[in-house]
Amino acid sequence: MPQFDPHVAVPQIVWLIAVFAILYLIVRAALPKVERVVGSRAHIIGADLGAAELAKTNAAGIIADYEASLTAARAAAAKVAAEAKEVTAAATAAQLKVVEADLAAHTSAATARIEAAQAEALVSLKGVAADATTEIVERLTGRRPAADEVAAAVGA
Amino acid sequence: MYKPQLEQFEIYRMVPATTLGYDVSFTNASLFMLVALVAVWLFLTLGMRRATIVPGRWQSAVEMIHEFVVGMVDENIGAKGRAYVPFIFALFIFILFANILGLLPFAFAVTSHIWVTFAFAAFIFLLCVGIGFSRHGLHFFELFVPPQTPIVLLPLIVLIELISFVSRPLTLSVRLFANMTAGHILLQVFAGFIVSLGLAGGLFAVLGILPLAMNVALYALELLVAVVQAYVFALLTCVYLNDSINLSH
Repeated sequence: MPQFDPHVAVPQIVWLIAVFAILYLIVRAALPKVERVVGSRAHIIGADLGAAELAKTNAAGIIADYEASLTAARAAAAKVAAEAKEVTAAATAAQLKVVEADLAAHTSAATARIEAAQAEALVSLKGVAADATTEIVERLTGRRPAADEVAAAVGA
Repeated sequence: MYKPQLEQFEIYRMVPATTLGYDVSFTNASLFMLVALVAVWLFLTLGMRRATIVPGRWQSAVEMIHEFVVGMVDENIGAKGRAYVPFIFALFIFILFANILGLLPFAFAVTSHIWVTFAFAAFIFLLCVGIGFSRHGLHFFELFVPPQTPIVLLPLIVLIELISFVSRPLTLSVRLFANMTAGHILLQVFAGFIVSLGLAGGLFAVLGILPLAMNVALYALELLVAVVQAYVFALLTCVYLNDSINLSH
């Protein structure tokens, strides 16, 4: 095999040393740039992730605040509604009382008027009865009865 | 002078040269090392030319390989291994590019030569030994004494550990060399079948479709081998460096 020819050893090794030495220097010179780019990328990604994390935390805080204020507003609204209901109920009850009293007064006045009218009617009915009795007795007997007699007879 | 299957591994001296008595001729192997070098340089330079936060495809590829190598080093060596990232990166990308470029038609596979892979492996071995002694001094020899070894077994265990340590450059270099060489020979053999069957004519020419299909499948396999072997070489280098840096077993 050509590989085992001792005469080809030295030129290959000499050139290998020269070429690899240059290659090593090239790589040594090139790698810091690669590392810089990779490092800056990692830094940017890390910073972005940090910012995102911060924004997330902030958003969570804002949401909590919002929830809290919403709950407070709900409680306040419920309180206002309850108070308004109470006030309205009281006013309604008061008005109802007034109206009822008014109605009762009207009713009693009307009752009194009716009773008065009844009494008046009764009185006038007695008068009419007495007159009629007087007339009837006068026609039958030809004598006009005394008024108190008639009244006593009608009243009985 | 060689069998046709082995012709592809032959070294041609394109520009013969000698310095201080050593043969430093510019060969076809040197040419493809330079091609790989330029390809890596273009890949890195053009890929990162307009480096943006949202990367393009090319920049993504460069970053992906970088991330891959850093992950491998972190996983196998730990934080102390960061200093070796450029070396592992250069090793991985050079072997990867050499392997893949070697698969192009008429190309020469640099990594199919044992001298090249052995030079890498020997350098890594010396590097590991040097790092081990400079970091741990004589404590580096503890690498050959696993903790809680029974005293009776100690000589045997130390001998086994020593042999496994010393054989590392050999196994590391032969693994890459053998994989690349075997793959290229296989492709060449089946390509030879296609030509033979085509020349035979008639029904045989029709049968030539079979080795052709085989070669297409083999080529896909060789692409996989090219990547996997580059990975394995870089990974084992990480493992060996870890032994020297962290003195682990």
